[in-house]
Amino acid sequence: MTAPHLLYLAWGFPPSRAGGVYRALATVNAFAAAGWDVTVVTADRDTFQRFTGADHSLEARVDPRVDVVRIPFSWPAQDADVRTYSLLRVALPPLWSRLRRRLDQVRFPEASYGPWRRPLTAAARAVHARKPVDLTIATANPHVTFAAALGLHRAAGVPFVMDYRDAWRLDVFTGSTTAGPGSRVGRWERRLVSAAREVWFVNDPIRAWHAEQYPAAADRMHVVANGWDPGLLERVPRRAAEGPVRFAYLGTVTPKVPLAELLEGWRTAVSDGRVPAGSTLTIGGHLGYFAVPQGRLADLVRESADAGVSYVGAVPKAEVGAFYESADVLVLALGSGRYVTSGKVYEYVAAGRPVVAVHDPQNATTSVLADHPLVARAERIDGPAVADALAEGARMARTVDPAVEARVEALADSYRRDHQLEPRVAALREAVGR
Amino acid sequence: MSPVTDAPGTDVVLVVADPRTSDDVVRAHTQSLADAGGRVRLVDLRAAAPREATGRPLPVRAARAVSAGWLASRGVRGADRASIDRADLVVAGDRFAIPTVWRARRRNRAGALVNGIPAAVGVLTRRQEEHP
Repeated sequence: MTAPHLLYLAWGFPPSRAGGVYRALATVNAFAAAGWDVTVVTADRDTFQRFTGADHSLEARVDPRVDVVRIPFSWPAQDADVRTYSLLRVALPPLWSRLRRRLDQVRFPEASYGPWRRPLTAAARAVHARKPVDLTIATANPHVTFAAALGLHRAAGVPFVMDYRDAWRLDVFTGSTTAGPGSRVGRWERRLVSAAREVWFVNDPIRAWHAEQYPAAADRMHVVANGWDPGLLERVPRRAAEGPVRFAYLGTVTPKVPLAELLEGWRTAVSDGRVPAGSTLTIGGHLGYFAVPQGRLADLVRESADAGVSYVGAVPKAEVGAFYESADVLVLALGSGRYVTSGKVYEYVAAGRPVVAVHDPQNATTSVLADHPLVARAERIDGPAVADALAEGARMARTVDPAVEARVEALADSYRRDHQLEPRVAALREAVGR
Repeated sequence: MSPVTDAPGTDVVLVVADPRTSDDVVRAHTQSLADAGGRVRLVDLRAAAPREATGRPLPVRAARAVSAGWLASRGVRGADRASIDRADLVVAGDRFAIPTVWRARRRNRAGALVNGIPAAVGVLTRRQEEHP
């Protein structure tokens, strides 16, 4: 019996440091480990170096049996090379931007990424021509990867999986619909979902929303939670903190993260002594979605330096374990919304430290931490409530109870990413009959 | 033109032209470029650009904003122009500076011309990686 051939379509793939990359990495590695031949089609390295930031340590994490095909990606709106600018762009930037957005969406209704549909579809077909593909997995965002998977499905009958991660028509922060069912996006989504073999989401609230929208496809929709990667994170037992407590936050600080409230709460808890004098809050990760720190967020962090807050920049995945190890308490600050999930929460559980949860209780992440015995939850997202939670976190850091640690370890084991992917890998192997 | 940093490194010209760009912002931009390995010179055209017509109808404000950048680019004097033409990297520090940087593309064929400090820092970082 020959190995089945998986084609994996993703814009963000190592060395990109964007959040979804770890899911992509784990998915292709899981299929390779299960005996599949895996070909990835993604953007070229230069794309990530210029636009999202690159973490080169991640490339070494790709299973050597995985074949990676890189194709160019053009992003005129983000292009900072003034030599490439037209007279129109220099003279009338708003008009140029408006026209650019329209042009982007001629072939696919997705600003910036729409033009990638044609080269991506061509690359997918070239892979299939070279070596027949048994299954395509396309991962968002961007959602243009879905169009290429559908293209190969229509041209050659290759079944495909849509790995949404989050959502396209649903704003996971506000819960509002960003495009109606009759819109161009809505029509595309209906075509894609009706043709897909499976549709994956990161949490059940998002899956349920889509199941309601597309009831005929509900039984093909699955939750594949993010989980944490045992190969990337070594679990180190914690010791009881004495004296100052080391708090740490790791993750991309997007403008949705309640950073101002977190820092206000931190100042309060430090100044009134509920967090011991000399305690520190270390923030690691990117400030903003892109490679260079977003100014307002950087200013907020800088202004709190006198209260023991420091920013250490992006932490390469290979050094994440050491970052957690150097903390007594982890701070999980997230944007609001019942559909919001976090990739980092699984790592936080795996790290085994007490967690200060600074997010909307309606947030989907709450269910991940429901059985965690060392969680200090902020009752509200404001300075005083955050201060209370930080104080509770400091208290938890003072003791280590073996029975509690064992519960945390069991919870962490259940959230390993390979355990999340295993059922789907097995089901798809059976489905392709190879 | 005023020399801002004298440390050895890549010759960088930072152009600012928006009257709303504060001195603090200019200092922060200059420091970022110097930290990334640039020997920075400043071309300050803020006095040459007219202030935006606040309170006027949108089309009027838009037209003024467009013309402000072009007017500022005309304010480049001999010594400034020579530095722009010779620089390894010319950076538009604000939106009004883009026409000035763009107009340098024919006279400065070897240097990098970029929009924004993040991109400029990226160019300098890559150069340092390539030529440590």
